Amino acid sequence: MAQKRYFQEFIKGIFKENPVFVLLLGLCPTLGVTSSAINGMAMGLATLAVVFGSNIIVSMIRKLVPDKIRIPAYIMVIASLVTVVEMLMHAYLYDLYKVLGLFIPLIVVNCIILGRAEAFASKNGVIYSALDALGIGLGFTLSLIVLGGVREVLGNGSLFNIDLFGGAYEPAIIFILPPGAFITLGFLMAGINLYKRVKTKFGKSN
Amino acid sequence: MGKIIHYSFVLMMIAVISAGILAGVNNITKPVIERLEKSIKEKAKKEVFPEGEIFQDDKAIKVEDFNFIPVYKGEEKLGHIVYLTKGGYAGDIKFVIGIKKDGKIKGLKILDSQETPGLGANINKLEWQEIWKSRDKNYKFNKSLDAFAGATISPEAVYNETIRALSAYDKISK
Repeated sequence: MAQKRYFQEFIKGIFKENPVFVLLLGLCPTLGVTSSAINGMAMGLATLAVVFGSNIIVSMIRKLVPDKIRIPAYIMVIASLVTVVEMLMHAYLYDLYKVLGLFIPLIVVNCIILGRAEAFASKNGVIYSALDALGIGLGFTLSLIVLGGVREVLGNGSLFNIDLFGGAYEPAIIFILPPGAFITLGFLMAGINLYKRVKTKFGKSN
Repeated sequence: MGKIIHYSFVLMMIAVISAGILAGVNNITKPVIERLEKSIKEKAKKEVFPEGEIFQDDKAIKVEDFNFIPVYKGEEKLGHIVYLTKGGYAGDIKFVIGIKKDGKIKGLKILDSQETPGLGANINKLEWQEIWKSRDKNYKFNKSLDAFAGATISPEAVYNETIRALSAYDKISK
């Protein structure tokens, strides 16, 4: 029975509680970094590492931190974690570090991390918190890859830096610029909402 | 009163432990990062001046605020390299250019920058750095060739500092 709960806590972050398209959290880095699929993927993975660490730590100290000071306490933990991740990336994953640049420190203010710490890790055990983090981190990464992929194909004619159309397609530059981020996100969300509505409609008539 | 002491204590403990871990990680990564940046700087020398064998850092010629480092192949002086820094869109752009004796650019390599990923950060791409080869101090910035849609500040910063260095180089190559 516990097996089912483990899986539930993990999978919910990918679709039902997808941070980008459902919860609408962490939209600042989402819009800012997804000018290409690989940038989106790199940011997603870095955020995954941070939310994983932070959920585990917050869950471990949840009984020691008084309710009234939990926010500053969690923020200290998250900020330290991001700084550690940044230092490690600078030293050991230099190329990735250069690609993400100033968006790495911005992971601290990504609402997903404090949000999960507040809503879940402060109230649940370590293993469930870890699974919750993995699920939502993976959901975030996949969403960024999709968003980045669409923007890259339309705005640069490539995917994961592989040229797709070889010059036959004149890319619409707007898609790799900020307005394109909003437009793409809006359309993807509309598509997902439409899909959900159609699905429930068909579910009912059956 | 007791509550305030308790809260303060918990926050202090978290702060102390965080600071300790950060100091520890910093101690481990700092030398690695320094070595990394040094090796990138060394590698860049060869990348902007592949035929150069000896780079005489200690015999650098100082003109204005530039240090032109002579590049030798055996006994023959091929030209100079110079490390440049210019404020870009977000922070300083650090790069190095190789200059042939005739004042033309032999190569350009961006070493460090914090420009916007997907826009200004495209200056880090090799294809963009390649286009500077053979240009000289009289080159005029061409927006459609040298800049990227939505990003001119980063390329322009590189261009301006390069032209300034090439003009200063004139004074020693005579």
